[in-house]
Amino acid sequence: MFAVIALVVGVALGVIFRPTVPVGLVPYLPIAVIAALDAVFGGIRARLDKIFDDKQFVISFISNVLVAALIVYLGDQLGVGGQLSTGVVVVLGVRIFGNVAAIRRHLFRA
Amino acid sequence: MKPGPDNFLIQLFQSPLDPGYADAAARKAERPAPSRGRRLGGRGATALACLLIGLLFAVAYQHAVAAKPSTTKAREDLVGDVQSRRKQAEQLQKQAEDLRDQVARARDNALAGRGDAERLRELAAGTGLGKVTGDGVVVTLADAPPQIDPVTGKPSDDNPGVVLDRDLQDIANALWQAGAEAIAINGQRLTATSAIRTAGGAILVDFRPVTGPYQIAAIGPDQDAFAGSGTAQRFRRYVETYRMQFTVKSRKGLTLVAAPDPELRYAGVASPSPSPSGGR
Amino acid sequence: MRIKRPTPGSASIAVLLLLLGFALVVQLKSRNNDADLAAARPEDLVRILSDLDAQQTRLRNEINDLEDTKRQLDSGTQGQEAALADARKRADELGILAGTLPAEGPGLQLDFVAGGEPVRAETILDAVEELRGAGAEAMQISGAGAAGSAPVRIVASTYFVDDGGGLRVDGAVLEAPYRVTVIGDPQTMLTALNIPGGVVDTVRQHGGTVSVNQADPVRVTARHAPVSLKHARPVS
Repeated sequence: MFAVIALVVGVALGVIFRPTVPVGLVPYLPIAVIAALDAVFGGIRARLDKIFDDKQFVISFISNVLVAALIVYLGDQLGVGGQLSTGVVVVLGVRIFGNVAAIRRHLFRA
Repeated sequence: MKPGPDNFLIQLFQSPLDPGYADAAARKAERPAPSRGRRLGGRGATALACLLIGLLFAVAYQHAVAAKPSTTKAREDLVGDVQSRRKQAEQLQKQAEDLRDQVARARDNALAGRGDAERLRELAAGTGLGKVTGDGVVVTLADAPPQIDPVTGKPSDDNPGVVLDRDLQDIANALWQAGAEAIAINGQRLTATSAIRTAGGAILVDFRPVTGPYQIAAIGPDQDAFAGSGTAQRFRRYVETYRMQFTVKSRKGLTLVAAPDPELRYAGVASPSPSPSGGR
Repeated sequence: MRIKRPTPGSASIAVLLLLLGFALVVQLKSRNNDADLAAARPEDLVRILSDLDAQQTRLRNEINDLEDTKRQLDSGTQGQEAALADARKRADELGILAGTLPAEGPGLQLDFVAGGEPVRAETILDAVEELRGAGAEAMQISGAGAAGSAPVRIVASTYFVDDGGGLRVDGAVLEAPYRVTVIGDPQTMLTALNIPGGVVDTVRQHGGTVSVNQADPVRVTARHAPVSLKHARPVS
């Protein structure tokens, strides 16, 4: 439950303080959001499967965001930014769908 | 397990959960329960990570949605303006048409019993100043879809399949030749004084802008004669060459509204001339 | 086939499909309506806005005029007289527009002389539309002077078709050089004809010439037979 409260507090802090992001990082925000979502859903599913591990969650979150941003950055430098970011979004999206489906099975037995 | 891309994709779709969780659970089952400190530390790290995630969501939302670049906002405002003005214009148009009908009826009533009214109505109908109904043809003409430049991925600026004012002129001309008795383009009735011309990138019929797809409705033309006319053949070629869109459909019970009264400021009825006037 | 009693499951499926269908239609319609706006650049949108404004002003003026006329026609015996005067004025106007009455007024005389290439129907059609856009109120066209080329009144339904080396106007064959007589504001029409890429330019490019004479009054005496509607019916 700590996790959920912390999430809500984070959102509230972001809304209240409106931190400005350096302009160079703004294009990577969407991909970071999707990577974070993947980590979050993975964590929720692990929780429901009763194999949740804090270290794993934190590491998967940090590494997802960093790797996704790095891949997109590399792609931008090479000139294939659009395509690489599409690839990253596709993979993360597939994982999110898979985890959400498992969560659904747990919650609704459907 | 067979290494290679096949395996990765199958794994991707079948087991989206990080195998790390399963490994950690297996490891935990072997080792003794961790100390309270470590557990709290772990919980704290998770909470911190969740805080960061929440922060990330909020910031990303602000940057992506709330702080849309001002040009996009301005454009959306413009689009909203255009739509609301269009609705207003439609209402005004309807009001004008209703009033025209009422004035026509009031005229008829005031002249009731005189042959003039009937004659006037027939004359008005033939010149485009009276509402008419009948069976006819609707020609639909639309711009070719913009060609995408293969290099930049953006639509190229000049499009040879764009409908020009002379295309509408030619079609109207061919319809009159085929025996049309009344023609309207996108609801604008054609009269002896209504011009089809381009001004500033838009086509104006009788000074009113019309946009594609263009519907040219005509009552009375011989559909076969029109379909076989040189103009129709030319436009069918344009469909193949430029992917312009051109269709001819017969329609029953077309109703074409009257054009607004033109005020003749320069022409007056001529006094009878001494020399014989030609005429057909 | 007996119709089974709807179970809650099939009822909710039906509702969901209904919503899906509804959403599809709404989305398609909104895409159709906004397709032209979505593709327009901001400059185009501004121009569309100003066009719409001009149209609204015209419509409002017209509505005011119509309401005035309606008030006059509705008001009793004054209404009768007003109606008769109105009818007479209208009959004159309609006659001029339909070509059943001769007209005169200030205007221009245009002579199209062919050069290397014959003057084509599309050039004449272009000229007629340009003149209409410049406020022409009555027009006629005649061919090379000789018996058998009586002037033809140009009305809404007049069509122009190439016929050999000549021109077929409303069924009558005319031969070059053509003279177009038009009544309207001479200055506006002159300007419209002389714009770059306009009628005078185009004819010159094909090797011909257009000579324009201003005259006051100009007489348009050719008459058009009164139209007999075979397919269209007036509706009030």
